[in-house]
Amino acid sequence: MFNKPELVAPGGNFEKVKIAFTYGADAVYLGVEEFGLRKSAQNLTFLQLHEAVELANTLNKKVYVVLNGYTFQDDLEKLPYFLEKLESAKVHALIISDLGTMRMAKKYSTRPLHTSTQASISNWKAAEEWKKVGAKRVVVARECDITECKEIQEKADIEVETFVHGAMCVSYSGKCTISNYSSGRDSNRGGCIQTCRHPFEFNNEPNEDPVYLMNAKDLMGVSLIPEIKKAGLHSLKIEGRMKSNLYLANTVSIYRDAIDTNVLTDNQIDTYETKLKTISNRGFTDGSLHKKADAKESVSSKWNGYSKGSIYLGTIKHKDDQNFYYAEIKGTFHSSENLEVLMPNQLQNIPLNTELFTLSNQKLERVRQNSIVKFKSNTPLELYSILQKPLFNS
Amino acid sequence: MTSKLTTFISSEKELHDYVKAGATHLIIDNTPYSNRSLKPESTLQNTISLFKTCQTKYPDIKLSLNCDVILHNHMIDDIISLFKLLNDINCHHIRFQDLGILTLIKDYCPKATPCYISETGSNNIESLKQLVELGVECIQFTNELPFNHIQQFENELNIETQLQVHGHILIQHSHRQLLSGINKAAFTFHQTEDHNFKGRFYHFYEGQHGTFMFGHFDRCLLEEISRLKKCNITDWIIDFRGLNNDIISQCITTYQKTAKTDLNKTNLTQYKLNLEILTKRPSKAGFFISNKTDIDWRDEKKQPLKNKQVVAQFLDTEKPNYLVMEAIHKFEVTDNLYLLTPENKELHYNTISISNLTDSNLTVCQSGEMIKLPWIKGIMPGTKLIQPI
Ligand code: SF4
Repeated sequence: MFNKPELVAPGGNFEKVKIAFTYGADAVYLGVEEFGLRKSAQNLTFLQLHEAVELANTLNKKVYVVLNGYTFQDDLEKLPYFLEKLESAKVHALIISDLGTMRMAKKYSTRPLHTSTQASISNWKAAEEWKKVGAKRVVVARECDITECKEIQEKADIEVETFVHGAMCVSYSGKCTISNYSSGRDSNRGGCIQTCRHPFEFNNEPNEDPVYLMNAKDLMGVSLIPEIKKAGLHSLKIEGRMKSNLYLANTVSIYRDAIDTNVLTDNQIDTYETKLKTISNRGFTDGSLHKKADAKESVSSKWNGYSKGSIYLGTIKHKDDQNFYYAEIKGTFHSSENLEVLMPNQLQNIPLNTELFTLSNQKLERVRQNSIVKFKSNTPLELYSILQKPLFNS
Repeated sequence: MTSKLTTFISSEKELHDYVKAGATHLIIDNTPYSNRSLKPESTLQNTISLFKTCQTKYPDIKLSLNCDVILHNHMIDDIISLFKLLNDINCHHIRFQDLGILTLIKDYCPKATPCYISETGSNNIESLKQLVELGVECIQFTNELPFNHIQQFENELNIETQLQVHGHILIQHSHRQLLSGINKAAFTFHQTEDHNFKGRFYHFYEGQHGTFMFGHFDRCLLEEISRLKKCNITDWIIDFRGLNNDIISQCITTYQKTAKTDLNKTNLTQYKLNLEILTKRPSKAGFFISNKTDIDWRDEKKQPLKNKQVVAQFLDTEKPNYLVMEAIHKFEVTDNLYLLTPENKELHYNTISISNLTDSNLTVCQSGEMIKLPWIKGIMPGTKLIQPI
């Protein structure tokens, strides 16, 4: 039996923190108001951060705060105040990519420090240097395979966290400034506009179709969980602070199950992969987890759009004492369509056949986006269960 | 101080041509551990031999070795062998970007000055001081830094500094062999046009360490030469690796002239244009003048929520019955609350009453609670309930 790695999930907002914990994450990473890399993620307020840490402590889970944007000189002034606020929230770690931010964090905080994947650590010698400056953990470059991760962890004697799922930069993280030059947005401070997803024409081949030269497929490492457990890696990370509640719940529950299962069969892995593929994706690859990513296999150079097998409709957020469930709806649908519910601790979706109402008790035929519906269910549902619509012609 | 005119060489021919053109610092780039070396077939022996030739023929020229690969564990032993050899032949500088290589330099080539190339990041004095504490003795600043910050750092750091003054701007580095992946030749430059942004031409180069993408314009500090001189940079770097020797020589000679003489703006612009004609590419000073990247959302004055606290956010509305919101943290129901639409329009109630979903009045709303407010004209998705601070 091997030690179970910690499962670290994205906490794009407070609700997602609760969903990640409900579906089995051991820890979440999140941004707080400023300094996070995802400027448009709905970062948490400091008040919410305090609540998130309290919740995590109650559940014996962890909250890691990202300060992984590259710090410019003008940002330094605000940093001590921000670090002190994080200190007072007693977050469980800070994720940092910049040496200067790390240095300031050591001065103004006693929180454990993790080096972000933005630092592109891909060898044990570099991990040792980051350890010298205060890192307790390194989130290694996505370009490292499992053997390299293991070697880094053992030789540098440091916790290693590696990405196992989600969208990927085609670039070494932190080494891309395309957006800086093409649009005045800083790729390394949350402003990336994803120019790497554009098609490019080769000038000396005018008759060729444009190619999506850098359109990296999404990472899916669920089949490698047994190998990762055997290697004894400390933590596994899921990308996607901006993604939907469905993505989060589905991905976390599958990786939770894969980590907790002692012996994974090929059938189980097939089931996991099929379920992961139902959520909108750019095609999947195991990236460099197994061996160096091969461009043919890991880039969608002929892009036909996202593929998915299911549409996110909404999240159940409340149940009243008359057993009405209330769901926040994010996608338009018709009440006669086949609906399914994803619940915590259950990999199998439950069909939902019920009447839907507005809060003023009007029966709904067509349910619109950005609304609340209430309904009853024969099967008891849990808070943060996710409503979805399977697509049969995906 | 006279800055050294610095460029990259991979062959004896380049060595002679660039010294003749006025280069006073050469970076040996034919190593297997130079990230985008154009000489993939080179061996450690070739590298050492080029080094020795430089030392013998031009003893006054400063020499550096480029070792800016992103280090993977399997490369460590070979790099140690290279550094041991370099230590014996007095290599002046070793350039690296991977912190793992720093300890290898200190342990196996202690005579060399470790020179950190910040391709990205380390754009603040605390980072730079941290690097110095780790043993870095020379730093190449990023191309994202404006001159005023460079000057400030230069004054605060007592070490050698480097800056790319001219050449292709590396904007992306992938570990993957992207060109081979679509059956295009590696080890050669390919010009592409962004299909979604016509008129923007990017170069790609695939070497043994992955694929490199270069900006749609080149860097040129000729028109900023007086500011550049005030920065007191030790080494001015011209990085046109991949272009022919004549163009690179012309570029070196141009900077040599401008370094020695104070030329007027018209002359400098003419020099810039001459180089653009040779390279057939536009060039700019870019972020050297100022870096206003993301200025719109970093500007605190433009932040609509400054001095306000969002206490609840929109979930649903039904005209004229209700507005449903979700409390994002605990708050008391007071008269000061108002709504703010995504268009920053304030909507005020005469008196505000808030209830739960089963219509019981609330005086305190709990974090995460769904609450009902009266409908009011102008509400739209994205509306927030605000409490002034
Ligand atoms: S443009 Fe692409 S490679 Fe660059 S930071 Fe954005 S997602 Fe990553």
